[in-house]
Amino acid sequence: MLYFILRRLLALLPVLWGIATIVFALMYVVPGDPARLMAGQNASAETIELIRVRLGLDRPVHERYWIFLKNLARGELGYSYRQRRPVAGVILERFPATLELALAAVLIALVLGVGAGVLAARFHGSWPDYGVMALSLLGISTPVFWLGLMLIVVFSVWLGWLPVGGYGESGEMRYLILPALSLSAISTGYFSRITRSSFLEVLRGDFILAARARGIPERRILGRHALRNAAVPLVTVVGTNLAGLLGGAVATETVFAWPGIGRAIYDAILLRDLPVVEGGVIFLAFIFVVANLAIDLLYLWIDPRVRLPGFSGAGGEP
Amino acid sequence: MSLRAYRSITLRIGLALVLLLVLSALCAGLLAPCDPLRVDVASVMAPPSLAHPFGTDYLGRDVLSRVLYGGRISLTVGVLAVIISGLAGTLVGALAGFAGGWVDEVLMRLTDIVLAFPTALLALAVMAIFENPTVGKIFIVLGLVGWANIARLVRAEVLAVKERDFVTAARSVGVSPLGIVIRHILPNTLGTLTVALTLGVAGNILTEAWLSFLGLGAQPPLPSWGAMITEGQYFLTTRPWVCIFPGLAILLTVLGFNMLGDGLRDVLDPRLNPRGRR
Amino acid sequence: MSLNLRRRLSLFALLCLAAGACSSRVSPETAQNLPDSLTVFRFRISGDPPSLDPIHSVDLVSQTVVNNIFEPLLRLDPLTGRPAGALADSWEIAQDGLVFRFFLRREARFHNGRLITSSDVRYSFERLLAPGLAGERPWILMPLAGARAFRAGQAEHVAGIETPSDSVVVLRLERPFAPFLVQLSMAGASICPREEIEKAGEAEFGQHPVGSGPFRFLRWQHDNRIVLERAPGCPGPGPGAVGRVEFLVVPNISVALEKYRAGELDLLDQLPPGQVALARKRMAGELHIWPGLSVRYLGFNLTRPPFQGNRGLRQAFNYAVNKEAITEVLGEGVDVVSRGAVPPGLPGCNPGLAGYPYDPEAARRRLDEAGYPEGRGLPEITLLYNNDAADRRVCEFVQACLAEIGVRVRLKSLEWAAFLAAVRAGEAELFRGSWVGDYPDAHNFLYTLFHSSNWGDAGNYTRFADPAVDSLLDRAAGLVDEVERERIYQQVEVTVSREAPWIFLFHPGQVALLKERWRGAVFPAEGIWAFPLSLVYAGN
Repeated sequence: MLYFILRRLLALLPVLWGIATIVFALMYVVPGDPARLMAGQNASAETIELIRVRLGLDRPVHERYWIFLKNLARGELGYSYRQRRPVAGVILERFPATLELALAAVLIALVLGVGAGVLAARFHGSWPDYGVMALSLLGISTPVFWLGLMLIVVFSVWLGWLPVGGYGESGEMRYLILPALSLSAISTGYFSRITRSSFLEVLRGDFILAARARGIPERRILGRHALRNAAVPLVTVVGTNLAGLLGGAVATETVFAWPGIGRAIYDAILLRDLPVVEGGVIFLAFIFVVANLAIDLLYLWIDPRVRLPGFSGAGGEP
Repeated sequence: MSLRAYRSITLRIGLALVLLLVLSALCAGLLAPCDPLRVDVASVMAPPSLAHPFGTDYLGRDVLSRVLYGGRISLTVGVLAVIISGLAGTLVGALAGFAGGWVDEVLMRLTDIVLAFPTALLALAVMAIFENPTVGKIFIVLGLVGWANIARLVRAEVLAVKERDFVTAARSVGVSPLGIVIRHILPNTLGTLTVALTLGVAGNILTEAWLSFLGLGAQPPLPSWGAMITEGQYFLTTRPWVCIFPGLAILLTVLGFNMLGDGLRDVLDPRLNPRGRR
Repeated sequence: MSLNLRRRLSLFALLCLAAGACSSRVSPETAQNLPDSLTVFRFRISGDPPSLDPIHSVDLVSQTVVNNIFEPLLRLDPLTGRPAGALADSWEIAQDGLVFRFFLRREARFHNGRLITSSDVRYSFERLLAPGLAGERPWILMPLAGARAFRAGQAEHVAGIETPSDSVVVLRLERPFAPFLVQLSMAGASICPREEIEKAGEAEFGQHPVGSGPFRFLRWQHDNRIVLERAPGCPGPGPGAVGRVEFLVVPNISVALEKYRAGELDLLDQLPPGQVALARKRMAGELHIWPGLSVRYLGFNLTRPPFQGNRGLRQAFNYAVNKEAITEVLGEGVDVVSRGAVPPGLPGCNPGLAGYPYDPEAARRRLDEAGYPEGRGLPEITLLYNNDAADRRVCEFVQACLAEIGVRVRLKSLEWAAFLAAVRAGEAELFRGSWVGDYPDAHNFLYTLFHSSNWGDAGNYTRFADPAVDSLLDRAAGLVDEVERERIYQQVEVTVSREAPWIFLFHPGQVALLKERWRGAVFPAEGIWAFPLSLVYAGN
């Protein structure tokens, strides 16, 4: 077990190095000089050169790459070009909002999705089943940002129940509801389908048939036996979804003016604030792979039959 | 009604939807009432009418015609991207699964890297670096992002099939590794792959839509659905037709491919069907 | 369930704080502690400003906030656009236009309570010019005598800044430069307290700015809001005056509009494309439209075929584009058709210019004369633009117009940074161009856009080079005689219009929505970023 964890952690290093290198290379190849962008139009060549020197852009690429890697190895992400403060601060300031949104979305999806899935399985083959299946299909087929705009129109503009985007002064609850709802649509669809199919599978298992034969009430069968068995595949899906959502939901964060990390990185890309882009992407990748490792371990704990060299997956905005 | 009946209904509806959309995109020239690019300053933002059943947009262009032609872009982007990611993913996955050892290790780390990489960053970089054609850029992005999942899937399938009796038998008879992969292993992964690729088309169309929303999608004047929604958002409360029709088109198309994928899974991959076990 | 989640999350935030890496998300000072009588003004901004340090505020969002926290020696009168007193309440200019004597306002204080003296002016100006700090706009003060030597490290101080007493500053120029006074009103020339910068550090000062403007900085929740409070002692318009400003970051403009409608914003700095007509109908009392200080054009690359040396072809393109339709239909009557580069109303704009009225026949004729009858022989032209909704509409429309005379245009969009790089490198034969004036003076338009010293990189993206225009512009910059200056600029406009380095499109107008309860609002031509919030008050 310990060997497994160590092996997986060691395997993270080349992945993180690869990601760091690709981000660095991409941001180097992408046209657009950060110093020029900062200076704005009407700036003299002398001003731009001074900015380049301050940012260290006057050095040759290989030297910049080497400095970048050396800093990274020491856990330093450098200073933002634009904000002139440590990238770590910029990231950690935005991450709580992203975590909050992702957790809320997964929580909503879990409650709605599992509930609907159980309902569908319980009334398998009748109209609640079809209804749930149809809704879940719609859920996974809807463009998230479009849903967000629609939710704003209905709940904020027409009904006036909830604020139109924003984060509030100190993160009040009501600001969280709409973005979390729209972000949860796809996950809800997946969760309900997974719950339904694993329930159906379990319900046909021999031990359930035996339980039925012994006259145990259907409710207890569902609650005790089926739910526990359905939890195994669900954990994986919930985990991968959460890991994907932690990567930031740029479009959702933009629509709802949510101060999350996805938007911060996206803005940094547009402004060519290279240290923020590099640091942000590496941080997110780190969170992503660590979350996946945690899922695999959790899975192992729930169901020890699983083979060790595990799996992981993605889940994201679209 | 049984589950299988539901599944086959899913397959039928999905297939019907997809066929309908493909046909209408192919025959857009016949079906569209107007030239989708014709600007008419005199009737800007006109509500739906007989002449313009879906209304007109900010340049007076017919929304119905644009939605019909837009299907070509969304479908082309979705399908071509899936072909790219399918080919690359199968290649990488099969190689990793069959070769094992350090090849497997390296290739899987590579897929880890791609999976952990933000799509928006890749999109921006590709948009900026690659020259035309512009629709080309967007499916390159989607293809680049999509192959990693396919590779994982194929690798898992290959690993599962590799140890089965018929493969061991073929190997003992002296069939070359390549021959084994092509003749025995790949056909066995085809079911999973078809399902994944069909669902991939749906995912790609959604991704194209949100990239357009961020301003990174297909280029005008080509009428892409994502770009049309992006334009339509400005009139969401006052002139909803500009936003609603392309939105519905996306919804229907993605729904069609999702249902098709679900149905196909049922037919091609009985292991995933609870009924199939008994 | 959700309440519990909230609690756990704030625990996470606390952990972050403990780790020393997370800046405070919940400030100890909250809305409840403020007196109820304070009137709050909520102002939409489209993005999070990178820094609130005046010497680093180049973008419009940063300037909007900086202008409220800091104060330069002068500001422009929002009504006339002429220099008016700010930190300096009066000034004298010597006859030769070389020496400026400023008298600082008595009892002017920074928000930390300290009196402002002339040495603060020297410190702030030298800070803007200091090469090591890499301020983005040293050109504001480059006309000062000795600025060059200071920047090159040859002098400890700028020779052209003198402080004869605590309340008097004398600025001496290298040579006469007419727009100098107006340039001094820019945010970059704001006066900053040395002790606060030294206490916070150069980098951190931009995160906790201290100035002497009408509002003092309270807190900044990144990507969410910036909160300012009326500075003690700042004179106001009386009861109901804005006591607190909240700049709310709302990136998506459609969402921002809904937020405004729902009463969550007091001022919306722009409108989504296509919404002005509706606002005219439904929110007439809240809609403000006024002429701006900018110009939008499509630039030809004059160093590349087919436009190089082919004036007729460039004129043909100008005649082919229906500018009235662009301003009326796409611009919804807010924008004004442009005939030259200088916005109407600015001294130097030539009202006599005929420009290029929409005339497809004339366009076809010119095309024929230029050697491309009905567009035959002309390769497909690539029109490069950045992916902005409003610009995309204009470019799509121009594409349709040019198709009418047989010219095939391919649109190519890039995001802003890549777009600028491509235009600077001269890759584009036809590109979307725009210039937003830094300050209201024709020099800032004509010199920036057409002087050959700005060739390529620094604003003259079309690579226009005309020795006669150069010498006229050089002469006008040093003239003290305003009438003569104006005449020269009008003359330059005639040449530029004739040579047609651009497809002249329009001067964008400015649009804002302001809730009706606010009185005293004046919208300055420079833009919403110079909006004098301190004059605004709530009335009934």
